[in-house]
Order: sequence, then structure tokens, then C-alpha cells
Amino acid sequence: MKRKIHSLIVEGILFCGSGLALLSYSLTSYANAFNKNWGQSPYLFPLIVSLAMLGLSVWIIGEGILAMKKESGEAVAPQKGSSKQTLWVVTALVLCLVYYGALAVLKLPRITVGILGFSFLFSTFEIVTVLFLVAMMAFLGVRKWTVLVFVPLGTTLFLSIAFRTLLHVLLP
Amino acid sequence: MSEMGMLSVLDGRFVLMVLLGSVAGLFVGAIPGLSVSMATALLISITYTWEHSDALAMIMGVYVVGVFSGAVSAILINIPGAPSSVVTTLDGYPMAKKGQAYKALYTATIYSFMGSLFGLVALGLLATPVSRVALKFTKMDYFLLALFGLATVGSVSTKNYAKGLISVMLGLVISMIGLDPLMGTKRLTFGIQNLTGGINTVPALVGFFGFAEVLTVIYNRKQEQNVLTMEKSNISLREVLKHWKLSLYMSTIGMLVGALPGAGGPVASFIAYNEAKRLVKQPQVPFGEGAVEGIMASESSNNACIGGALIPMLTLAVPGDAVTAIILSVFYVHGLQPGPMFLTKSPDAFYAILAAGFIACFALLALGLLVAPRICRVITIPKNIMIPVVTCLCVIGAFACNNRLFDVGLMFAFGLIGFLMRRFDYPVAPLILAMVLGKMMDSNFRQAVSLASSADHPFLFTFGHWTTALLLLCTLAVILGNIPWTRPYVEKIRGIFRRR
Repeated sequence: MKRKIHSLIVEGILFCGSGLALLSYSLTSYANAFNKNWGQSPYLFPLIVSLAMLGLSVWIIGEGILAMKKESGEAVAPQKGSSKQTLWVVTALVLCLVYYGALAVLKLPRITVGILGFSFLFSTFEIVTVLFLVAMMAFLGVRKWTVLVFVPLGTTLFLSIAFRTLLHVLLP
Repeated sequence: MSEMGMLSVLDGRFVLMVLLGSVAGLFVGAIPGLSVSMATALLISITYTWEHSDALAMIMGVYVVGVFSGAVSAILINIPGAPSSVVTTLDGYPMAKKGQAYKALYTATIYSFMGSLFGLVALGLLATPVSRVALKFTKMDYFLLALFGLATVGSVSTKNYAKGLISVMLGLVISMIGLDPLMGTKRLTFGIQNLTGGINTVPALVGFFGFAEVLTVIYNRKQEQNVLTMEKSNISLREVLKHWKLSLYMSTIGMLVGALPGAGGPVASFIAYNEAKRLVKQPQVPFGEGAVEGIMASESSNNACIGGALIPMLTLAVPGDAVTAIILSVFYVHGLQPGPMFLTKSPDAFYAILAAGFIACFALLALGLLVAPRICRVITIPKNIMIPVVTCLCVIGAFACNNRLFDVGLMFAFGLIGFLMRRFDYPVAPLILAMVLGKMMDSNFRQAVSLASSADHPFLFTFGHWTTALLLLCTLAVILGNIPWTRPYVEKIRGIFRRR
């Protein structure tokens, strides 16, 4: 039967790689720098951190090997539903990235609405946020159309008025 | 309290800010999925342009009441609103199931109030002597103090010490990005212009605490919990207050644990709960089945942590927990410099914090007794509605600090890292503390090394001072005491001292 590598070993290898990358960065940057005094070098601290990271990654790999030896005789139950849960997170991330991309790329005209002496500015953020909220809520299982319409509109209006108009916080 | 502090208490705007923060803290702390750290991180971006007294007032309101209000959901739905209220669920929920939800909440409110007051009084009394000692600190002392803090937080925040330390290293790496603090050399920017100024704390904090929480909630999608009904009943204050002496002891534990970097409310409440079990031999109801003493111990200690955590943050610039790490970044954002000279240079900010804390304590009492019993419906806002709204708040929070979308991208990236860290049991608190302390450690260490290199006896020059030697011993004891291979030897040495 094929034995599965313990996750601690994979994590240890990942951190070992990161430590090695940081170590080589510190050494090459130091070699290329004008100042050759380690005591004053800006690369001293990265060097120490990289060495500590390497030591810790060896520790984690060691723990992984010990855990594998310990588990070798025991039957491990497969984790249920983890791929489905990962898919939820990936989908949520994709939605967030689309939201981020839309905020970065779209340049919609700004509309200022005046009510009772207050002027409310609506632009890309408001439109994109309403669409994002609808998409995210639908993805998270909201099916009532009243909630899907009124909550995004109300939330966006509240955020826009509270942050842009009252708190003078700049919005994307 | 100084004139400035007194003025703060009398200033209507200041009081209003504390009250607004307190109301926000009540809801943020009570709603599972929203945390005080997340709210404080988001508040930094909003309060960026405010007067520092207004910003501190609101943040203290959120902090003090937010720590308490985790008990509301702990009692009513068996889900702690904040990590420090985990222990409150042990007796709070069984009490609520017996129809004593109001009594449980009443007890939690009274002892949270007492714990918070105790912690803040301790802060007021101890800040000056600690600052006096800190004035004698050398560069190496500061480095070792921060290292001691990070070594401790790595050990108490997770079962696996190596993972805690890896988290510390990641935080240090993030802190190194940008211009180096002494010579202004670019480090780890990889040609990205937006990274030259370093990683701004706000998007990192919002990502690690806000967006990571969003992803975690999505990952662990569960059915909504049932809320137990609460009927108001007549409770004698004298009966609730009969444990006040024990509460003072629990508050002392909370204050001391809070002052330890990284330990915070969850650790304090566990220790206090165990102490209560040890001391109260015959409780009216057994512990774990609705003992009032359990709620008293948990709530007194976790609220006393607030004052305790602020002591090292204000006097040594070493935060005691994640929220104080965020508050430390608020100080930097507003140009304030915590440390031994803080009380001398910025007494107004110190007394503003104390005043805001005391006002927030009374707001806690009022909100806990009057509003908390009525917010059962609010704390069960469906997560599928709350999560998208929190995501939008994270975007606003990350964008507002520098008005650039690059920070929003960073926030998403840090959120993903934070989520993966939680998934694989890597604690986030050590990373945050390391990120905040990294630059200070780097500059102090290099200055200490440079100074030592010109001395006749470099080792004696660096470690000869009594504070340095003591800090070095403490740091080594923490590190070696947590490494599995060296732990038996450390235990042997401890045994020798105990026998003597």
C-alpha cells in the first residue's frame, strides 16, 4: 500500500525552500553591496532569520517523520468533504479577485445626487459592490430575491454614505 | 490622572467616541465570526485622519467592550464571540439551558467590569515604575525583550512550538520588506515600486484577521445555532458579588498573563478557571454544569488582561496580544512613539487611553445590563449575509490607509496566507507581533553589534548589564524549555532550584 507523506514534511520542505531562498538572497545581496561589514549590513538580519527558518524547517520535517512512524500501524480515516470545502474557498477567492479586478479596471462615470443639502457620490465602487454582494450571497446560498436585492443595495448605500460622505474616507 | 486626562473625561466628543466604540465592540464581540482584532484593524483605516485622542477613544471602547461581549454569544448560543470567552461557554451555556441565561449574563457583566477596572488601575499604577526600569535598557535589551516576547508568544499560542516560531519568522520576513531602518537600503522589494515603503500594517492586519476569517467561515460553513430565550429575572447584586475577593485574585492572574507578550485572554481565562476549580471546593453547581464561579473566573481574568497587555505595549513598545499590536500600529500611524519615554513625552495620549478605558468600563456595565440581553437576534445574523458585507469592509479598510488598490491586493494575499495558516495550525498572533516588532529588533540588534565591535570586550560589553543578562537567561529558558530535546534538561535544572 502506498504511504501518504505527512503534511508536516511537506510544510517543512516548503519552509526549508523559503529559508534557502532568503539565505541566498542575503548572501548575494551582501556580496554585491558596497558595505562589507556584516555588523552594519542590512542583510545581517535576513541572514539570521533565514538560518533560523532552516533550523525550524528541519525540526518540522523531523516531527513529520516521527509522526509518520507513529501512524504507520494505525488506520487513518479519510477526511470527508475537504475537497468540497476547498472548492468553496477557491470560488470565494475567484469572486473576490473579479471584484478586485473590476475595481481596478472599470472607470464608470461619477454621479452626484443631492438630497436635503447632502451630496452623495456614486461611482465604480458602488456599482461593482452591489454586483459583488449579490454574487457572493447567491454563492453562499441566499435564495430569497428580496434579500438578494435589498441587502446589497442597502449595504452599499450605507457604506457609501458612512465612509465617503460622513467619514470622508476615500473609496476605490 | 493628569489635567489632560481629566479634560478628556469631561470632553463630550471624547466620551461620545468611547461610547460609539463600545456599542460597536458589543456587536463585534458578540457576533461569532467578527473579532475585536478585525474591528480594531478596520478602525485604523477609518481613524487614520482623526485626532489621535478620538482614534484612541473609539479603539479603547471597541477593545474593552468587545472582550466582554464575546460572553454574550458564549452564553446564548454556545459559540464564543471571542477566543477569550471560550471558557465562559463551559458554565455559561449550561446555565442558559437551565433557564438562567440572564443570571449568567449578569454575572459575566459584573465581573467583566471588575476585571477591566482592575487591569486599568494596574496599568495606571505600574506604567511609571516599568518605564523607569525601561529607561536603563540598552539596545541589546530591546532586541532581547522583543525576542523574549516572540519566543513566549510562539510557545503559548500553539501546541507545536516549531509552528509558532515559523509564524514568528514569517512575520519578521514581512517586516524586512522595504527600506532598511538604518541605512535606507531596499530589501526584498524585487523591483516592485509599491513595496519600497514597506508593507503597511493596515492591509496586513485586515487581511490576516478580517479576510482570513471570511475564508475560514466559508470553509467551515455550518448550520446556524439555536438561540436560547432569555427571561429577565430578579437577581440580587449581593449574591452575585459574593465572589468579589476571588475575582480580585482572578483579575491579578489575568493582568499578569496579559502583560506577558502573546499570552492574552484565552490563556488567562484557562489558568483562572483551573485556579477557581482548585480553590472553590464546594460550588453550588459543579464546574462545567453551570457554576457561577466558572463565569466569574473566566470573565474577571480575560478583561483584566486588557490593562495588563497595555503595560508592556505603552512602556516598552512590546505588545501583549494581537489587539495591542494593532493599537501599537495606531500609535505609529498617529506619530506617537510608545516606549520608556512615552509617559514623559506623550502624557496626554497615555491619560487619554486610561480615561477611555475607564469610560468604556462603565459603558460595558450599562450595555451589558441593558442592551446585551436584547441582542439575541442580532448575534445570529446569517453568515451568508454577514460574510459578503465583511469582505467589502475589508476592501474599504485596506484601500483607505494609502488610497491605492495595491494594498487591497496585498490584503487578499495576506488573507489567503492567514487562512492557510489557520488551516494548518500555524498561529497568526506571533506573525503579527513579529511584523510589528521586526524593524525595532533589526535596528537595535545591528546597533548593538556595531557598538560591541568597537569595544575591548565585545561579549561583556553586550551582555554585561544585569538587565541584558536577565533577559538573555529568560529568553533562553523559554526557548530551551519548549524544544523537545532540551526540555528534560531544563526541567532537571528547575527541579534543582525547587528542591533548594
